[in-house]
Amino acid sequence: MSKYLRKNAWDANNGGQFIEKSNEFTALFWYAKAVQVMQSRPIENPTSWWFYAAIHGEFLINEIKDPNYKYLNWKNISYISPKADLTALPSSNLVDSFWDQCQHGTWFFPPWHRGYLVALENILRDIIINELSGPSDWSLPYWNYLNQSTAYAEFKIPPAFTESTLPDGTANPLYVPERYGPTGNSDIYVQVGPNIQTSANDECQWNETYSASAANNASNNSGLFGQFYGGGETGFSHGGSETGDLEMNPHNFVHGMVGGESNSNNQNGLMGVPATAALDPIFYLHHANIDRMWAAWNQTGKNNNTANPNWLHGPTAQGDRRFEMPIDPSGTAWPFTPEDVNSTEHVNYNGQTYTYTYDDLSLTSYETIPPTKLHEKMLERFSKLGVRTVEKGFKMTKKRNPELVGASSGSLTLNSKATKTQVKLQSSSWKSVSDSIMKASVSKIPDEVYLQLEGVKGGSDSNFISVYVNEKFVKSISLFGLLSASMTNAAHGNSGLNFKFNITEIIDDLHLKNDLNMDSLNVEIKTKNPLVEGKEITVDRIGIYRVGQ
Amino acid sequence: MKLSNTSSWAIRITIISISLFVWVLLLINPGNIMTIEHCHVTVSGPPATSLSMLLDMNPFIPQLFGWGLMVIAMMLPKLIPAIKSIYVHSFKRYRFLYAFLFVLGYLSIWMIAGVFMVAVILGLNFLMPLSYIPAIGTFIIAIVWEFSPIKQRFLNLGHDHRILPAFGWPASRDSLLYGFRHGMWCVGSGWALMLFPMLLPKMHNLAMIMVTFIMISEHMEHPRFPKWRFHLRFKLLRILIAQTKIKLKLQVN
Repeated sequence: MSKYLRKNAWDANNGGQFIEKSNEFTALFWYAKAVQVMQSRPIENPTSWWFYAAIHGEFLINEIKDPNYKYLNWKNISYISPKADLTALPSSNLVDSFWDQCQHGTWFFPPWHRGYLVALENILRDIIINELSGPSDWSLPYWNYLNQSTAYAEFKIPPAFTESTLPDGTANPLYVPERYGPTGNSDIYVQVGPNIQTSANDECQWNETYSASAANNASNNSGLFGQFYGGGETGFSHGGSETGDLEMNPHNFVHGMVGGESNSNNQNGLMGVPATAALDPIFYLHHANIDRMWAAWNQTGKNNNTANPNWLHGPTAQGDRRFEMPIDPSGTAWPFTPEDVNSTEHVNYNGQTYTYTYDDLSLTSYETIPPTKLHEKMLERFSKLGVRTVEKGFKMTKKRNPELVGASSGSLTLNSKATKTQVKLQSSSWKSVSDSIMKASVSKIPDEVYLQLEGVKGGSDSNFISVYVNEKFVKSISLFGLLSASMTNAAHGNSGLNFKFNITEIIDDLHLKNDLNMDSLNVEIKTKNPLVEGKEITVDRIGIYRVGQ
Repeated sequence: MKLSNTSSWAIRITIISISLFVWVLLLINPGNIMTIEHCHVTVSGPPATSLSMLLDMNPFIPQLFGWGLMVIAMMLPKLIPAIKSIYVHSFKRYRFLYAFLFVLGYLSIWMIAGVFMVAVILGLNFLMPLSYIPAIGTFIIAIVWEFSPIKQRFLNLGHDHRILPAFGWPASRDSLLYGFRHGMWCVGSGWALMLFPMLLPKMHNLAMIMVTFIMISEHMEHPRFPKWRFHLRFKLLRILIAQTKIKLKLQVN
């Protein structure tokens, strides 16, 4: 049985270089050479770089018509080598089986990407061993941008990805010009910090619940941060709104920051958009880190994935297409389910057991102090609201009963930087919220209150928005996936994206100030990057919901 | 936001119960509103007499009524996701009203389409009484339409579940408009399939059941890029098979 070790791209590669201090080549060098080989193959070859990137998503068959975003059509991307021969596409059978599979906004996000990486890693290793005479134990490195190393500034992209040539003088395929970074000036790094600003962190690792059906008691029914670790329970979801904590931050945040928006023309970088992201070789090191975090969440954090059969059997359980990866040039498929990749120890890879692990399985790299656990959080809330309780003296049911209590009138077009609006509250519905808070007791659990941005549309995938309610910061989110979700003939059918924010604490504070008797909430939305004409972001509606027991 | 399980099941049960009740009515076929009646005159008489007799035996309005019942029976279950979406996005006291307006708008479009459809059905029965040729011809058109990019466009548009305004007149108006719009996309994708069973001289109940299954299935599929594609949209069947397998496996374990 093979067992492989994925190592840190900075620490185990001489500070992210191609050559070790001992003058031997690093794993990053072999990665670059194997990527070169894959990139020399035409797109019709299922083991080419271009075919594999299209498995994640593409703008080649699904061409963009909007002139503002045509630069993202693969035929217009300069990074794609002429050797890809985009004029000769694979057969429609291969395209229908393999392309446009990536799972976002869903509980399938972690397992699908694990299978994707395992398949690519095996193709790369095969090239490294058989065509390049490289090390037989080669494994995909990971980029842990959250690592608080004193030796290296690991929040920066490893230097191997910024060099224009390899040590053998050939062009470096790891360098991608369409990478603009968080400030748009091609300085590529990840802004790491706490959740009070647009920063990546690993707060998600404290969440103990994979998805709604994995909640083992009512008190973690909504997850620690109002979401779940793995995502919402959906069918096949090639872009959706049920984004789990791991997927939103750090996953989406890092995509947005590395891809970025160019200062010169406001174009998104390749990593910033799902249908171009997998063209960039840094994508796979970023996802190896996300996979490492999931493995650590299971092993070190001792958290279980869901045992729901609809998750274990994958999207075919709900009548959708299966997950599958090509493993050779003829397009032989490795079909897999989340059950096959439930642990890195025993991946069911094409009928064989494939095992790998990471050289670091610390639960967190940045966050050091765990937040208050859900039960204690609830006790704190009772105490804040003046409810006398005894430890474990309250009972929550699993019932979740959402009800609209307020909404903005008409759609909203976001301005560059900040947009303010009032969200009107419907008096009788809002009264039930204030009643539930005022009459809260151990037998009458007060409502939770959520704000939802509904039908968010546009193409600013690398951008971020921060939401404030009555001048108080709520949360920042990444808009990764917005463009595809706004296209009529793509998987999301022009529904846009929805983003849900738990604003219960703000409402509790208003209650304590005797300010609950109001007819509207002031909502402010700030964008991180400026919005230029023709590339606006629209929000169909802002909804305020109470979620009662 | 997702509707609570209780509300979600309540909507499903209500809609499916209404649909089943109307199915029973259709199968009883009161006043022969679901079938075209013929006699020796309509089959072989001179044109003017024959047409007059055909319309006497099959008055237009009851036929249109029968068409409406057929739409309710076949299409109502397809509206469950949209109705659930309206419920969760509306204030509690207006949920039923907005859902009702949406269904009303949706059915209105099918009734307008029905005027033309019933005219076509009567016309073809006049020209080719008791013949399978019109049904076969429509079946071929339905097959071609089924795999065309135009049909895929209509199906894609059917997934455009817009968020409605929450307050006042705009909310009522847009619920109705949402129904109109959703109805148009549905007629656009399914007109040929709906016409086919009505042109069959026999077995049209069985054909209606099969068409219902196909139409519900195809609206459950995800949007796809529109192009000519041979694709059997049997998602409902796939779900039933997969879920049965899972349940059997769980029982064995």
